[in-house]
Amino acid sequence: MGMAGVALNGVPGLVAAAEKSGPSIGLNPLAPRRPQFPGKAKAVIHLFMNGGPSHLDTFDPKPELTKLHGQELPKMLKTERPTGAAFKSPFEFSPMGQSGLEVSSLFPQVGSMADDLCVIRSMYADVPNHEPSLLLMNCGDGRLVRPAMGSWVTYGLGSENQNLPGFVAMCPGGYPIQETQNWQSAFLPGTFQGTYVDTKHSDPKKLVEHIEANTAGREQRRQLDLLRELNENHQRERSHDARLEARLQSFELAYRMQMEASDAFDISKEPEEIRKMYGRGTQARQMLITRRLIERGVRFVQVWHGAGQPWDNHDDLEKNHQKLARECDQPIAALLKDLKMRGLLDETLVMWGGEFGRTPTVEMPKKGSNAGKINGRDHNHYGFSVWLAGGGVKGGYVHGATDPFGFQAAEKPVHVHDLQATILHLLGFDHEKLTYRYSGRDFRLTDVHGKVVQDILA
Amino acid sequence: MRVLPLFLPGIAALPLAVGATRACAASAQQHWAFQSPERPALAGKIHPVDELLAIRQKEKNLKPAPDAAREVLLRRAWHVVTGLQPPEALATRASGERGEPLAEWSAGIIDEALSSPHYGERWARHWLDVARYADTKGYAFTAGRLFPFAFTYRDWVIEALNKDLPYDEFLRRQIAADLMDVPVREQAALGFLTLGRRYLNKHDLIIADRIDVTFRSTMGLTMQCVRCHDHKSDPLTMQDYYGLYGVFDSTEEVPEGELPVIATPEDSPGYRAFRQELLKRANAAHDYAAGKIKEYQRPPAPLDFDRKKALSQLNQTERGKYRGLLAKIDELEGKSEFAPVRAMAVRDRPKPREPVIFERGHQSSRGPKVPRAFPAFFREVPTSTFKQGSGRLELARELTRPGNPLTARVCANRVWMHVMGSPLVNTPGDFGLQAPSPLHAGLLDHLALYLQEQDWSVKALIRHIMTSQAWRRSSKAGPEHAELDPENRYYARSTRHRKDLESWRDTTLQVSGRLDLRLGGRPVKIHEAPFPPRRTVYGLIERQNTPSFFRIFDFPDSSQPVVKRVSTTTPNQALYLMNSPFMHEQAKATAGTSSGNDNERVRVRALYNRILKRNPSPSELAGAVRFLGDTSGKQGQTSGAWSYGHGRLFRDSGRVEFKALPHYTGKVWQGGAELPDPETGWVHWHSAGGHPGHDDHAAILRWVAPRSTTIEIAGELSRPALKGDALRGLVVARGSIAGQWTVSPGEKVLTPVILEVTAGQAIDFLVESTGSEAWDSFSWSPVIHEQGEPVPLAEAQPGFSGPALDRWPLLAQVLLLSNEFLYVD
Repeated sequence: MGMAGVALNGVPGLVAAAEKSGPSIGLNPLAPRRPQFPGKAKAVIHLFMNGGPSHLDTFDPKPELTKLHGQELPKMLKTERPTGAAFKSPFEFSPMGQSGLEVSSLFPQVGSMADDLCVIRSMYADVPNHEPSLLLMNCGDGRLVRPAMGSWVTYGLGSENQNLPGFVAMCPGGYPIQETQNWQSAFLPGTFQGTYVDTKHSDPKKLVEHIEANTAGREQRRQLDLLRELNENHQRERSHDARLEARLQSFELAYRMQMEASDAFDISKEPEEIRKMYGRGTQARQMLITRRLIERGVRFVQVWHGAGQPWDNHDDLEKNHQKLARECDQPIAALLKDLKMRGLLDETLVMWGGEFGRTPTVEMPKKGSNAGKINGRDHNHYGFSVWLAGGGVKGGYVHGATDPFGFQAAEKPVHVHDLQATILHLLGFDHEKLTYRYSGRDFRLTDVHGKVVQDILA
Repeated sequence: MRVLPLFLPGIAALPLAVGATRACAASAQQHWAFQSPERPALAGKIHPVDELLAIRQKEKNLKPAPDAAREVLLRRAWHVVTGLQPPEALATRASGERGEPLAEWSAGIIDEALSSPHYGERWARHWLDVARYADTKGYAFTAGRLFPFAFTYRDWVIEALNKDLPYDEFLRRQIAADLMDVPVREQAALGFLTLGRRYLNKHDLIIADRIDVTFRSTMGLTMQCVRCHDHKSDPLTMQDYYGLYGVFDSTEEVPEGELPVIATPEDSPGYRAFRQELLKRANAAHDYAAGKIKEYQRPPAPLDFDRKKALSQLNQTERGKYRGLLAKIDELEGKSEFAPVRAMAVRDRPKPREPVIFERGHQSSRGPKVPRAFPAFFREVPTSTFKQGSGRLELARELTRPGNPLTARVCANRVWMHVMGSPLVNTPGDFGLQAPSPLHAGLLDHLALYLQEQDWSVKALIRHIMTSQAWRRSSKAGPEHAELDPENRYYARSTRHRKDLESWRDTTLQVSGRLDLRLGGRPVKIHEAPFPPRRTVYGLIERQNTPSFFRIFDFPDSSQPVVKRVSTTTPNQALYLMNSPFMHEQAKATAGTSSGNDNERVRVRALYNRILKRNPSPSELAGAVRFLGDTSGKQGQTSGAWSYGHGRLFRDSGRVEFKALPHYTGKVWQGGAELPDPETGWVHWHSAGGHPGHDDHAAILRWVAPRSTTIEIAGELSRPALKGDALRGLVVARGSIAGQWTVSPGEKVLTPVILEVTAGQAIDFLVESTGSEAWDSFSWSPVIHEQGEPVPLAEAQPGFSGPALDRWPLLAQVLLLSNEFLYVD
């Protein structure tokens, strides 16, 4: 959340340690900071379709798979659970926009923004399990406790609005798998942790903790005035201690935050036509809040589809993907349009995707793993799609490809670390140099890996 | 080090780390921290700490600040040693013994603080940061997350510090108590090894955590990177790492059911109830297993489990359910205050395992065999490897042997940091080659030697530092201090302490009079209402989703050792301090402690003395009186969105006459302290309903719309008593009745209403009696939704609230938020 000052026990030990390797976070850890070189993007929106949306049914059309439907694939890869014959997509793909980028009938409205999308069809991760894949995507390491990408980005850039959290993670109805670890700051200062917001609530006062003054506004103002008097007296005899002033300021900031945060999360303040554009329901609400936050200078917003793993459709893929896409298609498209209308898309990098994709083969019945309906897909970390938009990436562009059946990244494969390196590059950081000294070592988001995907840079 | 022929064909292709390690071994021989501490030359005329600090201060031309006032030293001593405010009795003594020379007086105060059992609580928390202590396992999919007996480790640390167990022995027991000749209860110390994150039971990562915590906490060495490659700068190799891996791989956790019992509760009705419930839960698990597994054999005693066997016979879904049932048993054993208390111990495996190097850290790439041994560079005897069982006891001995150059230094640096506010070595968790020689190297050596010579007594070391003049100096910086030494690296003045989470919360509770000073016991959720008033060290530490309360106040991440906390000042802290129910509760209680004084000025003085331990200045007194006297910002009746009143509806105009009920019992809003009230009769409201009064004293619940919208009100009005006559419920808004229902005795009706409302508009829920008000108790808790929204906008029952803070608590709160309270000079 928003911040006034880091004073490290009066002695900038940790700051000093951080200075050696990373940005200097000084007295105000959320003060805006310059990147290492001018970046195209200033803010990031990560739309996390948790559970693993199927690339084969959304952004990676596979006519060969359709042809082979019901037959054995020439080459099978080991999957987490047994899978069987080729399983064609039940959804039609059509070329969209001027670019003719192909999008399935699941996302007609997002498809209408095709010329702004940069689809990476050759993503791959390390393992076919949710936990490590979520952590890899979010924190750059599948097993150990590491800071989230949003924490790294706010650590690198601070935030543009001191009255709001710099890194917000929204998930309606509860937590995804691995819970708050997905937006933790780990060894980075707690200031850089994602602030969790349960967007199931519609009351803006419930969205940020303790934002609601229990004391009438005027009364609280008088309290703070008296507090200021007291603190100024105290400080008079204790000059040269910046922490005392920082504490005083933090109360004033908090006082303003009560108003600004409630305002930022209150979508009822949007004009009717904007609310109409996003539609109704939880997804619409959280996308609209996202725009309001980005507009106010929040650095990193992560939007989860829902608690648990909604996109994990081992059974009834058609029905479930249809339902999920219907929930978010219009709101996501509206978010893109809205950002564009306001001139914010150029400097905001939007990313859509899951922790992995799904198999081109049908999942076979397995007790305890699925309902045995033989109409879903298993996890697939060998190949999947994400798309980016705005923030300095090419629009209407497809990068890389999976094999003819969509099982594995085949052309220009992009590992999750490469994607992360590219995101940091777009923000103006060399991913090898955005580091933090901890436990005798300089840590970074991409560990010892990652290569910027030059092809997708606009 | 791995042995390599010097001139290998194709040496250029060798991993860089090997070459780097060789180079670093040479510089390691020279590294300051790897040399034995050297006794600095001392003239001995003044305290050694002051003499050694003076060397650098003179170089910098820094004049030390004068002594701090006795009141300041008293507060500082108790803050540093116990994290509490000094007891009243001592405060009087501070002013009463001006005659005694400062140094002696101060030493007396320090001794008293060090003999307080609250010393152990304060300093245990410092160690628990390093030991990455938590009460839960971290992420686990279905298995229970609570470590049922983590607290026995926490309490062991507190006790060990209180009885000043020598630091070397303190370490040895945490690594190998089960292999030492000590009472069984000492095995609680092994929680140090077992309480780490569980990484979904990935064995190699659990061991990595144990190696890391062992070496970072004791010797300040970072073994993490050595899992995958030789250390880039320190003389630590993969051979060293896997030598230690073998030690922990040859160690196993004692299964939950067999954990050594270290204290048994006495027989009592509570204990018998606990046993009964425990058997019930155990039988539920057996019933489940018997239903799923053919030929499942129930053990003769229901609490004897073969969990592994049962698990191996179940499928994935069943395992999840079965584990859930087991977790319920463990939860009861962990949470019930009547459960026998156990140590979270480890033991050697019957046969030690021979380690191999995992190439690049991958378990599947098994490299050459290595012996279980201490890291080669730091061994007492270069060729010795571990011989006894897992080698844990030998490991513990190597860590604490007298010639070990690091263990005492690392400890002395930490103790200095907690006493003086900043460490001598700026990377207290890393004493490797990347740590430059500290500015006060001689002082650090002196402290390390002092610790060892005082038989590793941590209390003696604390006392030694605190009896120096350096500790007694004022923290007020003069212009030259600020200019020449802004960070206070020369200690020519004292560093002002910012209260950390624990000392802030504990002293706040102390001031409000609610602090529970009992020692030890099971963890409690201190961040949730009703806010148990126990010391913060007894708060339940949840590793995975650490409540934001902890994180916003810089409580460290408990996934890994943290030797030095970050300290931030953020608006989130301010929001908590301004708006949290916890703070309001403390502000009220604090104000309550002074409520016996009728005179406003006397009461202000009492509050100042209670919170800030001093009288207000005349201008402060005037400011407080002004604050108390200004009623322009008068509050509403309650702190919430609903108000509770009585009155009537004028049916011709639709106007509602609403009079707020003046008295709150803690649960009920009513007309006066007793019911029936002479004027308003029986009328009252509680969280789920209430009772109307006689005649024009309808019970009225009022809600004010926060914004313009369309609302749907749901609710059920019920009049449970069978005696008496009907009552009437009405919803009235903007001068008209939006709904009304008559409810006969013993009946209930649904009360749905859809309404357009504008911001600020009042919606009144009236309940009138028809005929007599006798037996007219009702329940009615409306729930208000915005149309189409799944989550309610307002709910009467959970939204029920007592009175808003009146002025005295508001004043008390201001004092509790002041820098004077939050910082210690």
